[in-house]
Amino acid sequence: MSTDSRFVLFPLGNKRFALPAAQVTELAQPDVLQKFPHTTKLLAGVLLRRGRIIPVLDVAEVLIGPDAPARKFYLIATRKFDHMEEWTAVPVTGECELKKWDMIPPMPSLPKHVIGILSLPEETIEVIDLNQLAMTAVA
Amino acid sequence: MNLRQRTVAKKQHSEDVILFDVGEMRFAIAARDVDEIRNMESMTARHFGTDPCIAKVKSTISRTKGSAEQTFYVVNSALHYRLAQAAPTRLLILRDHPVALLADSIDRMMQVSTVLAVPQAFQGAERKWYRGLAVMNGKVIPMVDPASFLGREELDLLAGTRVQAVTA
Repeated sequence: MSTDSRFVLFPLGNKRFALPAAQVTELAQPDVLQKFPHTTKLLAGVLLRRGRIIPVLDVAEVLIGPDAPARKFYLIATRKFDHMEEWTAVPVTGECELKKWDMIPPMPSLPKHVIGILSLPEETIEVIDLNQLAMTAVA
Repeated sequence: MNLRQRTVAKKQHSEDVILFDVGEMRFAIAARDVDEIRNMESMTARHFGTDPCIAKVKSTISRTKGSAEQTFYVVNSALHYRLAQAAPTRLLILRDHPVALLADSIDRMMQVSTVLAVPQAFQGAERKWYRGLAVMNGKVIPMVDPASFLGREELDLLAGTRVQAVTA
């Protein structure tokens, strides 16, 4: 069970997913996506926000497939790398919700990027590990 | 949230850079890394074999500097950066590297005061391609690393290939 049981629920099409709230910095309005050549999968480009260059990790294709509707906002979350943390923008298709709920362990059949489940009364929501998701896309 | 600021490779002094375009993409290269900008005349088409590592080189260009004859491998920058389209018209002959880089156009020379490190989220070939990212007038522009166009292995391959001049 998570020690911090707050999560940010975000929509992608008809489904919702969650990130641990401790990883989420802000929900940002649409911004200009800037692109340059690169070979890292899922990265759509970068945002320039308040002097920071923020990579945009478009997780929709992995989570819901190629027919994701237009993304409306960016959820800014932190990702941990070897010795540092870095902001990453995750495009989402609608407004997000902060929820306090107990996370239960994922079923073994679920992908590795699902680190837990929020079993709400009317929906089941997968809690996502962004680093694992990015690695899954590379593999 | 207590987010540690990224440690970035910052250059506090300003640096002259040349902005150039390849296809729809804009790049910057340090002016000190460019020896000459010229048109594409006098290129010699060559066949360096079929190794995909050097498929981006299909011609050379030579010049005489002082008493020395210098030959540069012409790198197709669109192939190097895996871009679909380009219409090269210019060559950037690099300093300290036997490379002439194809560019669609040269935009201008500018000064940049800060070059930020490529974010860690970028894990692919771009970590070699770019020295960092410059922000100019609200635009993020990659600063190319001149050593990335042809590495030691690629130069050895090119030097070891029995080169045939291609007759048109």
